[in-house]
Amino acid sequence: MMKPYPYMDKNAYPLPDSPYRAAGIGLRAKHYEDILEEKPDIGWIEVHPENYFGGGTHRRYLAKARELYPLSLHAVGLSLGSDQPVDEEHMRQFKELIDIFEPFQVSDHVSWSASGNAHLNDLLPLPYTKETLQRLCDNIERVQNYFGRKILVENPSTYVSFTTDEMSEYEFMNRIAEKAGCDVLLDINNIYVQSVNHGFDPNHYLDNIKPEFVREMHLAGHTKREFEDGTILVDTHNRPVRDEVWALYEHGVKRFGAVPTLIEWDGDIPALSELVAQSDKAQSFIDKHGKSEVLAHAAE
Amino acid sequence: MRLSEFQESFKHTILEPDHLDNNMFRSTFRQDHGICLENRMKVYRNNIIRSLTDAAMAALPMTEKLVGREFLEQAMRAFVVNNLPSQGNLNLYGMEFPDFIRTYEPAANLPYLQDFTKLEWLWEAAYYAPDDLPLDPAELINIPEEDMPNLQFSFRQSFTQLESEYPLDEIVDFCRAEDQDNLQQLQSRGCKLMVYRPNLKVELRRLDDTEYLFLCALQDGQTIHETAEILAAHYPNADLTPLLQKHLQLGTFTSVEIRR
Repeated sequence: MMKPYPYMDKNAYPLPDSPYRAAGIGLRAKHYEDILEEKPDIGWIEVHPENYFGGGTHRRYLAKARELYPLSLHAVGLSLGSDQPVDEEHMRQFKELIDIFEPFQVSDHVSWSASGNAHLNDLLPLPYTKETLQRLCDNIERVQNYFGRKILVENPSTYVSFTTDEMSEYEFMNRIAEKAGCDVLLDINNIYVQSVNHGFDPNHYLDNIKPEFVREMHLAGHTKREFEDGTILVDTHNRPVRDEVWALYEHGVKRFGAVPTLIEWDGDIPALSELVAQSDKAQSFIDKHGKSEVLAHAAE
Repeated sequence: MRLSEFQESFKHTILEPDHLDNNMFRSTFRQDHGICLENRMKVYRNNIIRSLTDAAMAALPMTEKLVGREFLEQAMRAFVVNNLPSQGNLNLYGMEFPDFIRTYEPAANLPYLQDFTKLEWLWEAAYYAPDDLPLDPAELINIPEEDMPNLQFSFRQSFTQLESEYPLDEIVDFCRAEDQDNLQQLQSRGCKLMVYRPNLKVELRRLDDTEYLFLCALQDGQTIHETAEILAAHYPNADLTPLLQKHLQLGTFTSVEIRR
């Protein structure tokens, strides 16, 4: 049996049935001291587990923050869509964090990063074919079996699309959830970014995702990258959520209810108060359109 | 095209953009909406190279101050393209950069950079080192006097030592100083240093020759008695007791045992 992590008081955890705000924020190193001191009124925090592998100072700060808030572990390194099994050591270290920090959500992306011995460190696009679906579901099932729990998978931001696609992305997302028995984490900004990059109606996308699979939503800022032949929207997570994305989110809350919603901000990180203000804004849509039942899911 | 071939080709295109000329690979992409495929792939190439460059540069804030962001970024990009990570855990990605910078032509007139970037990487590694507790000096009180010469100490997992022919400690002071006009006054001497993390923050300490040898010997697994002999052979006037007391107070060790 694993030794308890001595730097955290699990008795201090927020109780699963305590009143709960659905909107949370990503916790990044820049805000460690601030969040412990200011204890802002947010529902939960999210971190990338890869930053806490191996231990050390980051993990100590996370332990203190975990005493204050429910936690989501949102991975970027499992490479679920690679045509190779998920790295065993990566899963082992991830599981260690799950055992220590008892997150209410565990997630990664519908994308790939690893090819052979190289890890390309980006959430790379997949052709939506039956072969890809099978590989992805095999990897998700492997991870879920290893973790002993359900995970969520997030729709990607992509800048290319494929002639070889055999289904739409929303159909692909629904089929992953059905086949692998996982949940869907719907990134609203990613849907918007793709709708511009590939030319489709983002509301149509939302309307075709099955509500029963959606257990979390993400919001973030994006950047316009200009080329001589036009503009691409890039999912940069380095600015406030744009108005068009808020509008799409409102549509999402009406359709999917008060699922946990994350404000992601990974570059040019602002003051904690600005992140909290974005989280408050998300919460206002939730309060307006849906009743919260969120931690019931965590307690399952 | 099978998924494995597609992913292999995609990887090649990131490293060598000309690979996009491969007709079979190219035909897998839709090219009937807006921006051309070359520009779309540039977004991925930029994301990958930039994120890896940023990840590796994050461990070198003082080097960046010293040589400038532009210079370091260019060097790191060259490193990244030739040294893609092999795993999704990037916490120590870039630890081989000191070896790379030694052979990097534009840095040929900055001979201290290899050692200085190595020092910053040891610093980063100490930050990520597993947590452990310092040895409580009170544990030594109950050890019988006759066993004292046979004590062996285990070091904190964050502990490392570094010897350099350059004054790395002074360069650190320079990088941390508000007024950065004094680099010209560096002494042309080497240094011996230890890096460790007693609690949340990483610390750097200068060591004199005796102290460095003392720690080297203990880290090699020598007992107190053997360490005293090694010290005496090199520095006949050296006194081991204050060194031991000092490092017990600093929390350099994590445990002690008696070699039977």
